[in-house]
Amino acid sequence: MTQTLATLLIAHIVLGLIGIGALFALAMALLKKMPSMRFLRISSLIAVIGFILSWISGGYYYVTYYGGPVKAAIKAGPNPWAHAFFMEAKEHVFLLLPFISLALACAFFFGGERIVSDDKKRHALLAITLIAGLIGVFSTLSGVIISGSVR
Amino acid sequence: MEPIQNIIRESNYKTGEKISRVPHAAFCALIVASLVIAGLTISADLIPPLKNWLKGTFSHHWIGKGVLALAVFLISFLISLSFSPTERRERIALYSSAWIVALSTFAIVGFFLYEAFFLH
Repeated sequence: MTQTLATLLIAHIVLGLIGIGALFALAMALLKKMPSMRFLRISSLIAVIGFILSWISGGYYYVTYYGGPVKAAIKAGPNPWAHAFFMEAKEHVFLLLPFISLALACAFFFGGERIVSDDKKRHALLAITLIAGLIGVFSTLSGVIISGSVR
Repeated sequence: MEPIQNIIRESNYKTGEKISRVPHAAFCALIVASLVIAGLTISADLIPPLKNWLKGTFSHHWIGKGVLALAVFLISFLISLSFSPTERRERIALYSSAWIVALSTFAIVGFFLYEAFFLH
């Protein structure tokens, strides 16, 4: 693996973790009756940027390198299910994250206090944020399993 | 052609409610994009010609799914901007998108779980 690909892989992980952290920060804020709009806007923006950049950096690594030697090594190794289930599921559920975080950011930037002060809408936003956070945790843990299965 | 500030800030003159169209449109677009991602993911695995078409057109099936999801999100967003949302419609869009995103996730994870561990 070249230095560029290694850097992109690390960037994918770090940026994804930043996005997930921002989502859970959002979820914590949305538990409050009247969260700070500034905090919600900044956190959602960090999540959008984190996931889009993680998508691009991880995508480049996945498309140009993973499908060759890495995938072959996992399939030939003791845990072929690491690719068959974890990688296949991770690469596809991850596609949801940039769109979810973008929709959340739209709610906070354009809906603002009107949306957040409505308890039902705030609870719906909290549910969407938590679902996205769980997708992020699943993707992270899948990444750990996939990396550990390369022999 | 409506002024842009009507689309961004004050939209519904019928009910007098001042609601930005953007959040409603974004969550409608999220619903459609989630369905497309789940639908394309599962159908491309079940229908090899579809996967081959994605590979042939976009160089990689995963890039194809991402590009199509992005295109569908943007088109749905622009179409949804033409609707004047009410508080109720916006609430429905939010709850629906929570359910659809959760179901899309379960569909993708469940499909690959079945394919990896139970199919063969």
